[in-house]
Amino acid sequence: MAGILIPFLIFTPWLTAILVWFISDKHEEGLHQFASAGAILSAILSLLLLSQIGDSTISFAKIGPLFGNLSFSTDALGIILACIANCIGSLTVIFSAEYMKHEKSLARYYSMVLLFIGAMSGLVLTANIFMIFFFWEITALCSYQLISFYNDDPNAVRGGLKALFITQFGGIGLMVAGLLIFGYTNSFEIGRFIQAAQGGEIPANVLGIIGFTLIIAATAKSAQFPFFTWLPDAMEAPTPVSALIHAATMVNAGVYLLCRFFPALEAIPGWKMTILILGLITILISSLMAIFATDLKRVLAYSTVSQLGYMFAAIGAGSVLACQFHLLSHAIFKALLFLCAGAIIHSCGTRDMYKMGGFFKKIPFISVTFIIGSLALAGIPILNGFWSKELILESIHSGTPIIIYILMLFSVILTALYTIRCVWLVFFGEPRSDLHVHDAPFLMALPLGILSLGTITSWLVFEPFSRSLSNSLPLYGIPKETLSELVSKIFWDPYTFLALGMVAIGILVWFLRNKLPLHNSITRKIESISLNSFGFEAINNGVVNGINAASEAIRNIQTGSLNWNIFGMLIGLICILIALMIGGL
Amino acid sequence: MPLVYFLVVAALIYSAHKATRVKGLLNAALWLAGTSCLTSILVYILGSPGLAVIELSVGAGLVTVLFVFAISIIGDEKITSDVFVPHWLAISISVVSFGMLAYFLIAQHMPSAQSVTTSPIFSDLFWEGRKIDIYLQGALFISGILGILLLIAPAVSKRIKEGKNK
Amino acid sequence: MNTLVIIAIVSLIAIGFYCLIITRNILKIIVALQVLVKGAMIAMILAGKLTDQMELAQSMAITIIVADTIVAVIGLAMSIQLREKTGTCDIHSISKLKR
Repeated sequence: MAGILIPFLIFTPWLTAILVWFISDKHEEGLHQFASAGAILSAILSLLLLSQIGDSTISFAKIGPLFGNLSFSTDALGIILACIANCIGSLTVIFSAEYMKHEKSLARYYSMVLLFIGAMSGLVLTANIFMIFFFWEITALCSYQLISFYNDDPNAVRGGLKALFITQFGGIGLMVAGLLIFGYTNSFEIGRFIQAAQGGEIPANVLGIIGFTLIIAATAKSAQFPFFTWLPDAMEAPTPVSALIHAATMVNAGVYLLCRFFPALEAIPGWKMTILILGLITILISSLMAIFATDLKRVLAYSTVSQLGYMFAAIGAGSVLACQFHLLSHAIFKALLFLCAGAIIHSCGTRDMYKMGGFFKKIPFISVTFIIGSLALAGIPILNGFWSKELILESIHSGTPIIIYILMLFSVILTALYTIRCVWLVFFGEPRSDLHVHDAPFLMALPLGILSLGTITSWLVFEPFSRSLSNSLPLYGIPKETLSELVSKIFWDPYTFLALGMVAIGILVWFLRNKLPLHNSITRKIESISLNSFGFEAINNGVVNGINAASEAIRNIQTGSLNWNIFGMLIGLICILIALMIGGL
Repeated sequence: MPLVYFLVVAALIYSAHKATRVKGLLNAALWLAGTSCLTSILVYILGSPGLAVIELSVGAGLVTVLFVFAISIIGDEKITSDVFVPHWLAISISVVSFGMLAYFLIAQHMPSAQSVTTSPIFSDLFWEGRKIDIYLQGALFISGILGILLLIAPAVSKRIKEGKNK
Repeated sequence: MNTLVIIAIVSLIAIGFYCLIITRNILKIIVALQVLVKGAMIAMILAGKLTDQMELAQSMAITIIVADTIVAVIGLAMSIQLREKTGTCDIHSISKLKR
């Protein structure tokens, strides 16, 4: 059964993408309906696939000894992520029908989104490192295409290129790791690699290199320190794309990668600590930047970065369960927040929060859903963000030095602070300009309603979630917990109330902002540093500019002349022969 | 036997040289057919007669016919514009690189017989062991058929036009 | 004897490459590719003979012949179409790449 569902799950969106391309921009209504139908079909298929969770590996065509089998695994880690990608994907496609109405080149938009959904399913379901790399690159391509969707806007083109270059850098890390794994285990199968690593077949130093190159791949894809600046710039994309790719799915690919290889790599000395520290630095920096940003979508982007940092920290603390549970919660509430932001931006036409204000009375439905999402983001009970964040904090408290826990508590204050600031600036207070806004039409309201319902209730699936993860991934050491255990564990833990107290402090700081001595030189300095992304913006820009300049320079030797190319080949041959001769033979 | 080898190799190199350097495309095609014949002789005395037959029929037969056909449609053309890489440089780089390669192979790295335990039967190996090659060849055949169709399309369309004019 | 065959192989490939550097006529390019690939095919057979794996070498060589013939056919078809559309067989003059 799963053997039929998995190829269908990958090829349904891809076929729809091709057909959408053929429908072309002339039939706009047809495009919206057809793309939505394809996305909904794949969402249904992914929900069906949930019943097939097991620990088997399905192999399709044997491609030969060089590429391994075209194999897919049916464990919970992949299937749950595929389900998230397809369900949120279908909701954003439905949302797009209203948001992208009367836009140009809709066929390109829809086919890229659908291509992305299929590739994401493939990325998380395959059990072959070569195929992971293949799908990984397709998702990077779609992300680039969709960020630069408004390709007459230089900012959008630049943001797209930046995302492309930086995620490609991560792709190189993944490729190096894959080749090393192939070199030492003679197979691309992940299961075989985990076996070999646990059995000590791979030398420790090589295993270390594999582990740290995978960290590079994951940090670049998941926008972690020091590669995090591409995600805020990616906000030039249409908002449904931001919700799907840059909040709910693609940025999770890095987290997924680390979770997938976790049992093989956790024994490397310093590996988990590195991830933990990277996650922690990311959380602190991005939360500070979110506090000072003025653009609504950028605030959400920084909060995405910081929530991904929480997931990294959970992996670093050794709890794959907490990480995956937070991934599920975050995907739902962040997609909700982005879609709400999309609805607001669509109706008022600006992204600057200082021009908004007092929207609560004008657009009650969007306001309520947005507030639900942001309460989950801040970690208010009983929304899903609360449970997963407490789970992460608990695993960090029990598994790492106390100083890290204290810093995490500090970051909880920051999270609450930027969330309440964002909500307040947009929905409450006096209107700061006479923007005309209207509430969401039905096709926008439907995804928002479904997602906010999910935000309120998704933590109830904790029991089957942990059971399926624990049963289908025996090597990962995931505990089997029931819902009542979770509830009692979190409610009877004094540290939970400590964390809630931190949330309250964060909210209080916002309301007392005029009375507290905050307007001094220190806060102003922090503000100016934050607005400059702590200098990493400059570093990443330097990398992007350098790559651009180098490719412009190298293009001159690409004359397209056959004679010249053959000449170059012969020079290359001579170089190789000389190298072989020097190499001592 | 070495004398036979020597003669075949010398003739092969000479005719390959002629095929690439001779003036006139028709002559080049004929020299290419000669190269193909000599290649198949060499393959035959190296010990694989089956391959020699295929090479002779396909390389010397089919390709030459197609070449002559194509040249009869296109006609010869004199290209006078300057070349990118000067002749002396081209000759020297080819001689240097491949001289090095030949030296390398002859002096140091002649591959030697490994102990292959079982020598599989050709048909088994061809149809079972190298399945991906067969798929590749299937795809190639289809593209070859398309190529032939493209090749004869101008002649056919010309014929049709003439028929209409009558 | 093997030395002689290696000389033949290397010379064929070198002649092919030399012609590819010099020529700009698309038909000549196809001729050069044919010569080059014949060298590669003999190399495959020789390698099979030396390592005692003649069957494997033959199966590979058949693939080479097929691929080579198809390249010739497609190349000839393309050159005819090129001549019809642009009136020349010079690959340099039809290039539109920005320089």
